Amino acid sequence: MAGEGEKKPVLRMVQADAADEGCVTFVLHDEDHTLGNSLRYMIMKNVDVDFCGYTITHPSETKINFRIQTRGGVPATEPLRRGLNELNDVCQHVLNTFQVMLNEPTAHVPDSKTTCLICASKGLFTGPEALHLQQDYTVSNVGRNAPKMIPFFCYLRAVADMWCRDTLL
Amino acid sequence: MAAPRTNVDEIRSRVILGEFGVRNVHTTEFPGNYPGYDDTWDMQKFQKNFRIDVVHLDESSMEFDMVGIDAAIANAFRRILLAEVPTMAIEKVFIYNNTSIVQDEVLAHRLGLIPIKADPRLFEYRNTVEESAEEEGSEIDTIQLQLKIKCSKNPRASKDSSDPRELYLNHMVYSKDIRWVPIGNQADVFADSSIGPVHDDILIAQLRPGQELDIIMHCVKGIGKDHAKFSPVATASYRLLPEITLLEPVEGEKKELWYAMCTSSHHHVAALIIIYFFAKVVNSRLDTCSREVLRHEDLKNVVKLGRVRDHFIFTVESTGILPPDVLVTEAIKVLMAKCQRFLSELDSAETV
Repeated sequence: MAGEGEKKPVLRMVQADAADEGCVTFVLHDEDHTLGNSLRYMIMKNVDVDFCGYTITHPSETKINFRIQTRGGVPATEPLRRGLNELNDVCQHVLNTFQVMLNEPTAHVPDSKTTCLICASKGLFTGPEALHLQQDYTVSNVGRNAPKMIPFFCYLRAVADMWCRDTLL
Repeated sequence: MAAPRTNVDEIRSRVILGEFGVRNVHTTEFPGNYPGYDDTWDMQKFQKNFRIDVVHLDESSMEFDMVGIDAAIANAFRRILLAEVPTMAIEKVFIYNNTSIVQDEVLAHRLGLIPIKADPRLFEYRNTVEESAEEEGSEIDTIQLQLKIKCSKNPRASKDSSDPRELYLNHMVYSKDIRWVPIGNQADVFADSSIGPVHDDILIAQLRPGQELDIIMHCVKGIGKDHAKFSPVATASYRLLPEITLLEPVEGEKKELWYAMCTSSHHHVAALIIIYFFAKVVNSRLDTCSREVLRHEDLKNVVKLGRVRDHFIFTVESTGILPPDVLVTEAIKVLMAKCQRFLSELDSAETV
């Protein structure tokens, strides 16, 4: 309803030294680690930022004190604005990627041939020289991204399939 | 064979599970921390490295890998899934009659926790100012439900029976007895989506002949931060992808030992298979990170256990109100809304 009392504050800026725009504590109301930590990460990735951190003032207060100190006289609002924009863009990219994966018909079809986690890993088939194949393996991951099996190894796969079902899963 | 990682790369990209503790836990990839590395934020680099793989998806649960993102942001998604994706839940219970042995307040609490199948995106939050004026909910922010049931003797029960199921009618009150009472135009708007409890078989109370319940309930939109009944997930969690690296060939007795360890059902330690002539890691994803292997003197120097710092294996289990993929989508949107909220506020912020 309009006009029913003053709206609750969302964001306030506290500056100990009014002349220094580079050292500001922002009070973010109704926020916690969810935004605090992810925003801190984004802002600390900025070279202009000397310090960035936040505290939850008290467990029963729903606000955080978000401190930014900058280098070279940059106003602290700039890294904050940039951090918020970048976090927003990251979310947008995550959202787009997620929706693309959901719409891909093969992405989540349960198929024993490709989703058997053990058999799908190419590690089984790269020969005894690949002791440190873990790095390759984590990059290529499992399931959908598994490489196409070489027919020669089909019987090996069948053996491993049975073995891992009996023993590991 | 992949190129070995340098020590610095390992610190940056892996969490190491040692015998007596976990090392390199925190993200340290910030500008100025590592000479020779450019750690400033680079959107192109992020978009190139980021990927999501859906491993499993059904109507109530999903598992997916989110790779190439920092724990701070992945954790934000997890926290939002638990506490900030809105759902509809019973908030007000008007008890006109309750002669059962379940006290009014206990009954009201039990009712509140029942998941209500209704798309929260189609409803508004109920205005708190209006609520203090004790105004009735409207069709855009409230769902009305009714539970009216009375227990009676079953006239057709055999005389010598002692089974309550045969003796009484309606002596078990289930969530399926809750009926939706549409307000305003809701009957038309939600005609094809039946609003009501997700599950039919939640036991609410037990009655005996003569006892009855006569209850009207109002469901409102809310978030898990306010009350756990609004949480849309049974659980939402992530773990880091385990990584097992063999530092030298595992042969002979060591192989036998490891084989015995891996195949004993109690120690599901390392997903390892003996093939060809020595042991090799087949799927470290299955590793439970129990570090059992480090208890064996023979083996602990042969293997390196780690976890990939930016590879998150998410597991989301929905309560059934919304499908899990929709929940994740909504969670991402909630974080974007938070950013937008402060961006728009930043211009009008007052300095103290």
